[in-house]
Amino acid sequence: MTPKTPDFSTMEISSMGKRKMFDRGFLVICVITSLVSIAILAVLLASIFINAMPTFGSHVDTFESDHRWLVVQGQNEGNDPESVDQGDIIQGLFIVENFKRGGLGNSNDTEYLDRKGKAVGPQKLIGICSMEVESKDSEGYVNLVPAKGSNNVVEIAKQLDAVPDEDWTSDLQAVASSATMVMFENESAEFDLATIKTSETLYADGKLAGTIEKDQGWSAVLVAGHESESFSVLKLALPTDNTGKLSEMARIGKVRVRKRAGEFQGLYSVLAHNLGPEVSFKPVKLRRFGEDDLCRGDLKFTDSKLAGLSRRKKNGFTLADNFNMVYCPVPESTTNTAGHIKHFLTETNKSVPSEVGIGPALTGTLWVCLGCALFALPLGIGTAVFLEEFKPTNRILRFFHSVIQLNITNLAGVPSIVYGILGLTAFAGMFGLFGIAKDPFVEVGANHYFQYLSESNKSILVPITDKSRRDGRRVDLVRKSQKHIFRTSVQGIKIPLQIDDAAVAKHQHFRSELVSVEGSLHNDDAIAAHQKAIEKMDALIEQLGKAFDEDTLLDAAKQSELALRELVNQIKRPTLVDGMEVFSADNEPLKLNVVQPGEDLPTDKTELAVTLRSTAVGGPMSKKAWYYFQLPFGRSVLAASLTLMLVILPVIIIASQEALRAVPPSLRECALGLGSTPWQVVRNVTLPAAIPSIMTGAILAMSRAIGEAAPILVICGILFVTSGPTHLMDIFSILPIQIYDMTQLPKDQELMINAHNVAAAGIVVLLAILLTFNAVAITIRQWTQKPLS
Amino acid sequence: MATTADTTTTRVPEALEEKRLRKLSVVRAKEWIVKSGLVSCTLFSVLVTAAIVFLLFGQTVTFFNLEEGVTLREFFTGLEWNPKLGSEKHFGIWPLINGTFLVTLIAILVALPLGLITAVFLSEYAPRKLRAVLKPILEVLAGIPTVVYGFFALTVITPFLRDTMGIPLDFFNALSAGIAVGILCIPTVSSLSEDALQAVPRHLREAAYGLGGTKFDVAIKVVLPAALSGIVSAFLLAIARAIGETMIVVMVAGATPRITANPTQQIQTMTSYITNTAKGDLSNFGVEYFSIYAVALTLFVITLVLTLIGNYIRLRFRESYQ
Repeated sequence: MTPKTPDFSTMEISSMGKRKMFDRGFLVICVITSLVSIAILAVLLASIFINAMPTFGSHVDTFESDHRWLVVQGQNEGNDPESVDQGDIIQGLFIVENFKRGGLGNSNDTEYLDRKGKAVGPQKLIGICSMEVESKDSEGYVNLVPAKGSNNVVEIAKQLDAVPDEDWTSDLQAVASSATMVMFENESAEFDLATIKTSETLYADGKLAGTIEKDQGWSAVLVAGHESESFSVLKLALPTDNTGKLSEMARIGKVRVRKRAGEFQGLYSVLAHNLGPEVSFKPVKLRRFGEDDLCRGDLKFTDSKLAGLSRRKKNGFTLADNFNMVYCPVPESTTNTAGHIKHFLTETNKSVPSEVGIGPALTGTLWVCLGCALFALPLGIGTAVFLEEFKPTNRILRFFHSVIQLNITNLAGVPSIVYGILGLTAFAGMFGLFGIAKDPFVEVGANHYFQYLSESNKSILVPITDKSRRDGRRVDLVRKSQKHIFRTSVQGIKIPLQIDDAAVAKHQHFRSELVSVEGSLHNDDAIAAHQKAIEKMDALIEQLGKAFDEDTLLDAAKQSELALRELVNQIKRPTLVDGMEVFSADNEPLKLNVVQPGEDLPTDKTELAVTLRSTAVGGPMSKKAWYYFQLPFGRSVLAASLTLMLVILPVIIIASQEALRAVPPSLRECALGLGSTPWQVVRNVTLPAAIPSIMTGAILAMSRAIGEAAPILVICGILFVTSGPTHLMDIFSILPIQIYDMTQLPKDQELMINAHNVAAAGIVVLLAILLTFNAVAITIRQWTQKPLS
Repeated sequence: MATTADTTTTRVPEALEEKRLRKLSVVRAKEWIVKSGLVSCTLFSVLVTAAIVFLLFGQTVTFFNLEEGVTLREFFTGLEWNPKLGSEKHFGIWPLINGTFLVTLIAILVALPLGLITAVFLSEYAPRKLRAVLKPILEVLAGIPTVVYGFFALTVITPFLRDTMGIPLDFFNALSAGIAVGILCIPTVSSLSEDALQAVPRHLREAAYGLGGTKFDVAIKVVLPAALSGIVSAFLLAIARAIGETMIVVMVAGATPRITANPTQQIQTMTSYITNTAKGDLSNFGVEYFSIYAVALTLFVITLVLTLIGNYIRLRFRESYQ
């Protein structure tokens, strides 16, 4: 085909002036359009830099903390906010409201994460406090001061990343020196953690531990409180003497809430805050906690009890009427370290925007991209070499060759999110062939323990034997049956009378599996709970077959779920045996000493250090070596690297092919003429000539990989990590995802702007990395580009 | 032996002799090993394609066979997409396709004119030096990660349209997302189109000038038609890219699947549905989980068809001037 001949007839008619006008006009349009394109780029960069300025720029010394406190009226239930008056004492929970962001709350072992809208772990915290209304103005604003008599305080735990043991202890001592609140007056009572259900939650996470010092005559630390499936309130009950002062004992390390070695993921550690009498709150308005106040991450109340955190407003949790709440800015002056670039580059992610750092995300990006390059480069270049240098002569093979070529071109056009799904299924989950990621089928280089706090504050690791290692699988099984029951029941309501044989058979299947679980349990309570759960399930299935009273059904489903959850808790706890071989935090082998309820504790200190109560509860923890490896890969660096490899492979192949094509054929022919084999030609002639261009293409492809967020988001979601990965199976976060996460922030104007500033700063870092990559690519191209022909 | 090194004439043949002996035994095997290594590299890409296709098809079949009973008919004719637990579930793909195409349409309206005119300018009008500066700058636009565009849309485009232009936008809306995706696609369009325009041989232009054409005549009436196949394929690639774009729509367009032509509202695209649903969750093997495969398959098929058409047009309708 040849281009259409210009239409001369019209050209002749149209005057020269008109045509010139067209010409000029179009030129102007062209220039304007190009300028617009450039201007967009300029605006884009400018907006990011302007946004990023506050983070990189000025350094603020003091500021009103972003943490806000939520006072939930707890004990004086029923008080209407309007009726609160001067002199009233509000006793309640203080919650450091730094849980504004979604996407928090994840660690390797925690079981509490629920990404389907249920509660997240307790990443913020809470204390108990008595506040007195000092004054109240006409608009309903009240001035709160710590209440006299019961002298304020408390213990606030808040999200900190790594509080060293020492600081932590001293902080608590600070609290102890002024705290007089006794939550449990029954000082001589024997509190046993095992009898307090909520403590299990805290323990089960393996993050916090507390015990009771009954032998000292008072209850020093008690982990207790309101509990739902994943929300715990940590209370400190501290002893007082007759005068209301704190007894001396409390100050000298009887408080035993502390960081557990190696297990801090930064999700929640505890820091005590001392609200001395000098602290007063600004005027705040008490108001009823309304439904509108709920945003994701807020508190959820049911039946006047703190029931957990709702992640989304949509979930429609009902709120009790008689909770009031008030927001108080915490009157502390803190150094705003966000002004430091170093802080920003090295610190871990925080939930308070102005304190955010991108350290772990940077390291994560580095790991993922290195892994990706390691896989993608050899594969991509190999493919390109084969396609370009080993062209088949056979007709059929030539057909295949062109099919593969077309295939690669099409692969380049596949949206990256499709690769994400492929990675999710093939790498992270391995098609479910190897069990679930939490309970991997193949595992190398990991030791699993239950971690306990001994009677003298020593960390004790009880190794999990092979047999109990399968606990994870059992828990999973129980979960599955739970889900099955739930689904069946819900479906039963939707379409009654459709509970067919298949559903019953499925139930039977789960039932028999659960019975086999029973056989391997070594805990009487667990067996009892288990049998109860099975009974419930049977009853439920029976009901499903008969009447369809919705309430009964749902009730039965819930009951059964509770029983099963109990079972999960039981399963997770190994039996402690006297003389068992255990380890210290430093991996020293120890012999365990178990004390039964009612027995006296040993007096010998060294013995006390290895003493556990038979009812003690431990948290699971794992020690993983640098070569830790598991199948399936789970949400790991390796899975992400492989997925990114898929994304950039076509890009690398195409770039390398073009580079190879640019090598003049005369060079190859020369080498062939000298008697080289095809591979010798490639190795000694073609590749060396093409490698600069290949490297340029590869670097550009890598810069695409660095910016790619969607596939990794699909595989890993948003993980809150506090350190960079240490082995290939580690969880991680990458810079683009953290930037995305930071933009997903609350509607709160001020916080949002703050978060946007930080996100912009993150983008600047990301762009700087990309620019470096591009610069390297261009430099390579400039330096090595020699005319070959 | 070579140790004496007396004369080159004795050394070289001996060395050659030695080498030949080695070659005969080893080289063939070596050649074979290397070649099979390269073949397996190549086959990997085929494997990836096969994996994508089988995975998507397989899981989609599972999706339609689940006990919750989503039928193909419901999937392709249903006008409601509501996979959330608790309410009545609906799996009609159209709201997601509607969202995707709404964003794509806006993106095209932005990217095509800007990209094409920029390409014409760069290729036909711009002085060589200017072109040497402008083209890399546009390529920088192509290299910027998509989260950055999302952020830009969130912090600049939406506030600008809402506050300065006075368009009543939701916080999340299709318009800003579409514009951002459009900006993202400008370099794709301009770069590929410019390549196509550059490929038009010089003698065509000279002939047109010789006939008394102005620059405008040459550019629009001669060069543009001659490069049309390349330009159309650039358009199609850009459209495929806009359809597959994820981060921007996840960040900016919201998460409410609905059938609407109103770009000021929240919508949800196929890609953002997949992202919001998956997010690393492997534990849920319910209907919601499997639905992402059905959506992904739809997405895959749409983009694949576009890419294939684009390639076909480029190869089939390529003007060759030999």
